[in-house]
Amino acid sequence: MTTNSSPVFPVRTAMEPGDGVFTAFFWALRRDLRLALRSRAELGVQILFYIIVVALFPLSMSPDKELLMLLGPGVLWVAALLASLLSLPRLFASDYADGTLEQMALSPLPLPALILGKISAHWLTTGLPVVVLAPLLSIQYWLEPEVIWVLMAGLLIGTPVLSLLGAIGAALTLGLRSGGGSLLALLILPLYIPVLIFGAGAVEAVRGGMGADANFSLLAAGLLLALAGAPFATSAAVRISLD
Amino acid sequence: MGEFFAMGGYAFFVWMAYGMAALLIVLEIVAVCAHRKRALHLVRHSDVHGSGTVNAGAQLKEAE
Amino acid sequence: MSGFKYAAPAQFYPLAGKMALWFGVSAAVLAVIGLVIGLYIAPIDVTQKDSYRIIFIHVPAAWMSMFLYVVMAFWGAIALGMNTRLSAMMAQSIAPTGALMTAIALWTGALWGKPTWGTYWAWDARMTSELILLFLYLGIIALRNAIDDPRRADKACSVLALVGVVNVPIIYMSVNWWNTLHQGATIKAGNSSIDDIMLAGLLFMVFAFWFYSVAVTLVRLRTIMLEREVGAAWVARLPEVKEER
Repeated sequence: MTTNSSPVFPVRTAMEPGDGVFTAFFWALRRDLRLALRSRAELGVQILFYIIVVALFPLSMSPDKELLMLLGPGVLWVAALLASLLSLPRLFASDYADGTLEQMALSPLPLPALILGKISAHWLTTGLPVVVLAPLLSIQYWLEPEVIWVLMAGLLIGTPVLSLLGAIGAALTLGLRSGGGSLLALLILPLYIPVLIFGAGAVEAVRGGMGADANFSLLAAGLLLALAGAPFATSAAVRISLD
Repeated sequence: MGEFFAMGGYAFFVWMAYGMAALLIVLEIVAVCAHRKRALHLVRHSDVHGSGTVNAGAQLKEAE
Repeated sequence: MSGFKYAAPAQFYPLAGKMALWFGVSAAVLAVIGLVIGLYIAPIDVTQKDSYRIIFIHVPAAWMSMFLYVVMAFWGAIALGMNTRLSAMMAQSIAPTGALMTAIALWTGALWGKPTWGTYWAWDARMTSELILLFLYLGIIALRNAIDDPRRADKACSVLALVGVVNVPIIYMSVNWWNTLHQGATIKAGNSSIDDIMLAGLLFMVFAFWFYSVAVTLVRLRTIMLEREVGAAWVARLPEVKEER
């Protein structure tokens, strides 16, 4: 596991003129992206996990085209949720282990902004690949083109929400020994369920001829709510876990 | 009397509902009482002498 | 101010005991009256016949599941904001009872749904969000158990409770927002759409469930106080502790 401490990205401990929310955000974003890209193998494994989970379902059932078309969107969404859950512990784990997280909490830069930067990096490396891969994986499920669009749009709005809400769970369960991963899943899945319902529901709506406007509006509202609240909730949770 | 229990043919649904609710409530009361007994036992036989708060909850968990 | 002295566990413990007894006995009396009305006196429903009688358990449990969550989140917020131990212990005491109420609501709802709408379960907005509420309660309890340090557990569970509180208005309003299985509100201010006797039975049961929840929560709270304050002098002075020594 590559170390986090790097002379290129020391934690900022002194404010400079012009420092503030954006500085903090972009600093954390660039840092986490740099670190993630250093361990490309780990990223690759997570994306591979998503692909394999999606591929497992057709293998487990009779390759009936109608059945696959029906299940496809749901499978892609559930796999997206699982991929997100799998990668969430990584969000804070190494920073927590080597003390960087504590330094971030103590630094004068606003912690919610730093956290939002980390979450954004997490989404870029976990959520965005899910969106991009969706059309490719949809082929296995014989999904219609318009369904693929709806799926991608839903995932595009929904996966950031997964990262945002997941961060709260990751922060709350920092450093806990017993089944940190499964406890995290238990805490976060109830919050994920509405995203799943509206994301997959959008596809059902379009197939039923009703249009996905309502679903997308709700997803977007959820995204705004999560953007407004999650960085602060996560920040509070981080401070609680660091005490 | 039989008519009361038959609930107009819906006996299964009505009594399963009421029955489970009653069972769960009884279980909760029993659990709370057992919990209190364990805590009293812990407090009576603990070796801590007025030295402030201690997480007896963790001790209880280990004792379980 | 005399009210604030009860913020100390030592002061609240005996009061909680008396309150628990009072609320418990009242709950039992109210429940007997409510059940007699609900199961016996109230007439049958025009469409649902006798199966509607599940309402006398289902609605009180569902209301309590939501109410208790909000109260728990409230005490959690107080504990976070004012760093008080007793408020945190209060939030800790509520969670199991809240989970129980949610479970009862879901179970009785399923059994009511089958004869009424032909299905035990439908993924409609209210049922799904009530199920999410159950998972939230269980998650809070699981988080509490996973964290050894009680103060960290207090704060972490408070944060989680507050994050989840968004779900409660969704449950409540979902019946109006989405036109799926659940009927609209049965009891509206000033103009109820159900028979008076049924309403009376329902209100008795609502209060019975409420008082029961208060009683059980207070007993659990006293136990938690004992566990968490085990070394304190006031605990050693308690009559139920001294009698053994």
